[in-house]
Amino acid sequence: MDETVAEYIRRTVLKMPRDEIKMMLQKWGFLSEAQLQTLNFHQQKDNISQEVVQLCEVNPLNSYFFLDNHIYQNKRMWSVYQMKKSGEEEEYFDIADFKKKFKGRIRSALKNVTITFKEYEDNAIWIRVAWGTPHKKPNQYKPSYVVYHSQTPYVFISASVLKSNLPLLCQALIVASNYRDIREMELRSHSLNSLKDIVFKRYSQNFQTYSPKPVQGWNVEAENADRRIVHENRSVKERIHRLNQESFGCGPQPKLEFAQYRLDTMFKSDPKMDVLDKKEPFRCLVKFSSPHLLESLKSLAPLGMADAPLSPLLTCITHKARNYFKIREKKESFVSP
Amino acid sequence: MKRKGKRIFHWVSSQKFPDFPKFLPSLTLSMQEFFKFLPEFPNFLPKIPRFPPKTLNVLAHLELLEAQHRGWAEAQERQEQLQEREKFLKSRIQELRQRRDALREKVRQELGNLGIASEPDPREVLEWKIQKCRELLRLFRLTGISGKLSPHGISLSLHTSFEGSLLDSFHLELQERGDSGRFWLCRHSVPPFIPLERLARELLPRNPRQFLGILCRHLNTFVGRREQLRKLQEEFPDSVQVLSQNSLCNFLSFRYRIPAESSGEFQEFRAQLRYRDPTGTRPDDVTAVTGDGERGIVGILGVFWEFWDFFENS
Repeated sequence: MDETVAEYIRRTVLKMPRDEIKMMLQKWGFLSEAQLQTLNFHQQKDNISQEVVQLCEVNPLNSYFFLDNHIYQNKRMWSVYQMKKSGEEEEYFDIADFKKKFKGRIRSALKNVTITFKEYEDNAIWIRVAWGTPHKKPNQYKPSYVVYHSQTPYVFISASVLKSNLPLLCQALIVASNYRDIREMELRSHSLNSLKDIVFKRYSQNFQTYSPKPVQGWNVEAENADRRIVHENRSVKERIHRLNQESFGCGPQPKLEFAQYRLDTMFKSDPKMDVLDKKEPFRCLVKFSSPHLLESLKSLAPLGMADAPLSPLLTCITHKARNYFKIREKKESFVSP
Repeated sequence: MKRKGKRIFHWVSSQKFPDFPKFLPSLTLSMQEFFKFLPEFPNFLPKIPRFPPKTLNVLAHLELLEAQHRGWAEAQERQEQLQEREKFLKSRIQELRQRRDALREKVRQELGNLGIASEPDPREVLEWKIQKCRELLRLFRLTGISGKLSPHGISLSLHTSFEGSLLDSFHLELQERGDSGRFWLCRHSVPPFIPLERLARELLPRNPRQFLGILCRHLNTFVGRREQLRKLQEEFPDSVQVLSQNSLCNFLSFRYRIPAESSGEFQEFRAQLRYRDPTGTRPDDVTAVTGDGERGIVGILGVFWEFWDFFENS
């Protein structure tokens, strides 16, 4: 086995926290159960990593590079790219063809790259690319990851620090999947599953139906278990709850970390006050950040911190699939494309 | 007797203090209210509350306030009385209604005993009709397409099914543009590998019904293929292994391991299914490849068609 690969595996195992090593190795799926049983997890991490490397040398498969996938899954910043069709409908998607074209395109531009593919059960194809230069070997510790679901126009890319290779990556994707153009959507987050939920419309939206399931009203019984408590503003609270459900839906929200609004508007004030002498657009940047932004926005109105319904600028984040906005003076629409 | 020096005034009088009435309110009126009574209080004075100003007679002012508040208190009492009367009348109405319903029941029973059918109460008939309507609207989802008017437009739900069991539901929201009768797609929960935008662009302005029909077929066949794949994996976990599939489930390849009847060994072969038409439930193209060349093909294909029968009949 290659020296660099052995070194890579050893270093990655050392980085894992001790109590999670076993679980990570199981999730990785590269070593069989029998091999995992022979490992002794109570010795020093150094020794554990040496044993893992020795076991890996026995297996001939090539997917060892996805070991660090689960460790850093929620620490990477993922951004979403959308591809445009060339106009013809493709009949079916051939994964072998896709892999060949992708590898061919990248290798024709750069020689020293390591490309590995892995397919998961939910039809996701993970591509890991480790970049090098004509003079240096590929850097295994700063790879780029690409996630692509077949027959969809969306690609999720977690670019490494080496941003100069991004155009080549995008070009290879277009060529391999038979599309014409690719552009970056203004949607970024740490949680890949939430990005997938937003873009594939899997999050809970509120649609009106005559379904037999009763609408989840404000659950009075749970709140009012003690009969001595009387809720004074019950109708107000129910109204707020109903409006909130219309904007956000009933289920859990996708996990985003921030929303950024770049304002380029005129300051509107009482003409008598006349704060600004010049009639220039007022430029500022408003950034909302939170460990779970959409849940916190959803709970603003019930907690009384904001009026319901919330501003459409906040509630349209999932619908428009973006969390970076540019707001200019209102002509027709206020959001720039 | 006058004293020289500082003049200290004492309130000495033969009268008692005036008897303040009992319902004098506390003297914490807002300053604005207070200034209402003062004629043209100058605006440039700083708004430091000075109470009472020296220019007025305190008692006269207090009498004024007292009169005002007495008026308010009387109005409040009157309102309270009205509310009580209202409550009483409402409870009386309830009582009378209950008596009327009880008597009606009695009459109906008596008539029933005598054998005369009574006329149905029009209100009950109306309630029955409304209930029927509601139930029908709820049952509509079993047809596959149901809709409801919402404040933003029309909200349609497409419920997919396969072999008698309801599976996923997808929703669309359509809005009408102007009065032209053309619809456009507002929100939806359809996954991106279904060609929704292309269908909406081509069909929705001209022929919404056809658009809905074709979209329904796309969704139903996709869900059907996915369900068939899942069932196959569940029923034969050892014999069948899915090698590759794609999002629309229209390009699948399997590996079969079947115990041969004659020898006791396993025979392996691979099959590839291709569905050219996304709205088709049967594959257009099946390729089967075995491990040991052509010799075993005939026997293998026989087994393969057994599997295919399972597909057809399940």
